Amino acid sequence: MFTERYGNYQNYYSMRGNGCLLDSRIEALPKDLFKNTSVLDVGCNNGTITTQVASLFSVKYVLGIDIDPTLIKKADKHLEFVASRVGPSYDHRPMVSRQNFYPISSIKKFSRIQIKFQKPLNEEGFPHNVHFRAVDILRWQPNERFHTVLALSVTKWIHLNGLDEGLLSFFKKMHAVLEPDGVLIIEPQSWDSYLKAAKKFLFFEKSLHKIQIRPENFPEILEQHGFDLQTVVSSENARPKNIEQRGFSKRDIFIFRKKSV
Amino acid sequence: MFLPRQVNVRNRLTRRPSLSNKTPVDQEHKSINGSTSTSSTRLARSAFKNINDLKPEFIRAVECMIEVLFYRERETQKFHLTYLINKQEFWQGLKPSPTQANLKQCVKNLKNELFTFDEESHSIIRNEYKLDPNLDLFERIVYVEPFPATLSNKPFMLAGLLRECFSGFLPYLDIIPTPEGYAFVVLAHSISQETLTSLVIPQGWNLLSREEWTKREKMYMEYQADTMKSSSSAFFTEPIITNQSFRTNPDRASSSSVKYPESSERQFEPLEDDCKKSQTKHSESKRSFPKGLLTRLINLHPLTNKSTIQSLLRYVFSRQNPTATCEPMYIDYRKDETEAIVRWKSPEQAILCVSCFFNQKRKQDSHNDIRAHRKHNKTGPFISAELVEGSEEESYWNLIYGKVKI
Repeated sequence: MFTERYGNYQNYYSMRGNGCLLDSRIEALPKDLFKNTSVLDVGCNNGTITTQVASLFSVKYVLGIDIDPTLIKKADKHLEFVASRVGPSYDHRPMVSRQNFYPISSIKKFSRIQIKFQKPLNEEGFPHNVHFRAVDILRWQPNERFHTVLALSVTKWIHLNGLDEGLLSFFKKMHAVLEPDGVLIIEPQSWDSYLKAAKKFLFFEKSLHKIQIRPENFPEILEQHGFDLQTVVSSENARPKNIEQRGFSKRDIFIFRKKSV
Repeated sequence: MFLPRQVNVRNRLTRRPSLSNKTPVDQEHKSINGSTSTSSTRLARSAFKNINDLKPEFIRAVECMIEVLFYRERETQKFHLTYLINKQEFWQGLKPSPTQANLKQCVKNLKNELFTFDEESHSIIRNEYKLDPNLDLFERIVYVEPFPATLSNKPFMLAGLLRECFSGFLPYLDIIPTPEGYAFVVLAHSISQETLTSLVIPQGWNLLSREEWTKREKMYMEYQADTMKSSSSAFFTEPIITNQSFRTNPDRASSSSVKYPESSERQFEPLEDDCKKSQTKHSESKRSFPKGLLTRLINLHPLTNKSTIQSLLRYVFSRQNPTATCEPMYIDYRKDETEAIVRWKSPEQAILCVSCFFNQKRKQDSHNDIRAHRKHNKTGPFISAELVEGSEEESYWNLIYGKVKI
C-alpha cells in the first residue's frame, strides 16, 4: 500500500542535504525575504527547513503545516532537539555559531529540554515563535496572514491529489493568506516527477490523464491569480558547486510577489 | 593459499549470473580440485572486481578493519583473509561483499607500517609497531557526529571517511559505533580540540576531543538543571499570537511580536512547598534522597511506551520469580528514547529486576533453534537492566526535586 500519497515521506531529510546548517535552496534566496517577517511553510515534513529558517534568520513567527499528523509530531520533536543543542550566547555570538553546540549524546542521555521550559534563545524568541499544525491545505481556513509563504516541492502532490481544481484553489488560498506585498516562494516539480509518481501509484496514473495544467504554465496561472514574478533562482545557483549534492533534483525556485491593489 | 569456503546457498540463489568473462582469474584458483573449486571460483569470478573498480571507501575501510583487529587481538601475529571476511559485523554498509579475491587485491596495494600481506599464504602479518604505553587512552578518544547520522552505526565506513583527516594520528586502535547518530574513534596518538578544529573534515561532521565532549556534556546537564529551576518562577507556555501584532506593527524590528503570559496568567502552577524546598535544598551541600530504588532499562524499542514497559516488567518477573511482587512506582520514559528509569517501591525489587533481566537474557542466549532469531541480530540487542548508583542517582533525584508538578 502506498502510504506516502501526499508526499509525506517519513525519512525525507535523513539522507538529503549536504550537511550544512542551512538548506542550499534557502541559502540561495535573498535574506530580506525572512527578516522580521511571518513565514508559512507549506508541506514542512519533519520541520527541518522551518526550524532552520526560524533559528538562523530573524523571523518573527513561523508556522509549519503538513497533512500528516505523524510528521507534525516529529517536527515538534525536531524543534526541541535543535533548540536543546543551541549553545550559550557569549559576547553576542550569532545563532549560526551557536548551533549544534551540545553533543547529540547529551541530548540522548539526558533528554531534550521541553519547549515550555526552554528560555528564548534569540531576540525573536526562538523556539517559541515556531508552531506546527496538521492541516489539509485545501480545507484549511486560516485566521492569520503571513508575509512569506514557502511551498518547496509540494505542488506535485497537491496537483496529483486535488487535480487542476485543487491546484487552482491552492493558488487562491496562498493569495488570500498573504499580506499585501507578501511573497510566495514556490519550487514546482517538473512533469517528469509526476510521471515517476504515477509509476509508483496507480491512483496517480489516473490523475495524470485528468490533469491539463502543466508545471511550465504555473508562472502564467499565478500571474492571473494576482502575483507578479519577481525572481527565478535557477538550480545551478541554488547549489554550491564545490560540494556534492544528494537527493534534490534540479528544480528552479520562483519568487512571486502579491500584487498590491 | 586460497582457502575454499563453504558455499552459501542463499547467496548463490540470489546472486545474478555473471556474463562478463573479462575479469581476470587468479592462477592459484586453478589448482583447487573438485566441485568446491568450481563453485568457489564461480563466486570469486562474480564477486571479484578489478582494484580500480573497488571504491576508495571500501579500501580505506579494509585498512581500518585490519588496524582495529590487530589492536583488539593483541596476541594475534597474523590472520588469514577468511578470518576478516567472517567478521560479519565489520562489513555493515560496505559494498561490494568481501571475497578473498577482492580483499587480496585491496590489501596487496596497501602501504601500512602496521602490517604486511603475504600473497602466497593469503595472510596479513603484523609488523613490529610500538605504541606509547604511557599515553592516557582518554586523550586519544575522539567523539564523532557524522553526516548522514546513519553512518554512526557503520564503524569502518565512518573510520574510512575520516582516514585522510587523521593521517598524522593513525593507526586506529578502536571504533565504538552507536545507533544514536554519534560514535567514538580511538587513535594511536593524542589529539587536542585545537588540533581537531584545524583539521579539514567532511561537510556536516562534528569532531570533539574527549575533554571537550565531557565538558560540553556537563555544561548541558547544568544548563538543563538551570532551565528546570528557572521554569518554576517564569513559565513559558504557548505564546499568544495576535493578528493585530502583525497588521498594526509590521515593521517593528526591535521587539518580538510574541508575548509571554505574565505570572498571573500562568497555566501551570507549582506546588509552593516543593518550589521552596527545591530552592533551599539546592543550597545545601548534602541532600537526602531514597537510595537503591532506581534501575535503568536499556535497549528498548524507540516506539514503546510506559504501559508496554510495565507489562514487560510483570512478564519478566513472572517468568523468573513467580512469587515476587512487581511494584514499579513510576516509569520515567520519554517517547523515542531507548532507555527508561524505573522507580521501585523497595531496593529489593530493584535488585531483583536486574537479576531477572540478566537471567532472562541468559536463557534466550542459550537457545539454538529458530526461535532464537535474536542470534542473527534481526530484532536487535536484548533489553537489560542495571542499577542507577552514585552520582547518577544523585543527579537524577536532584532533577526530580527541581521539577514542577503538573
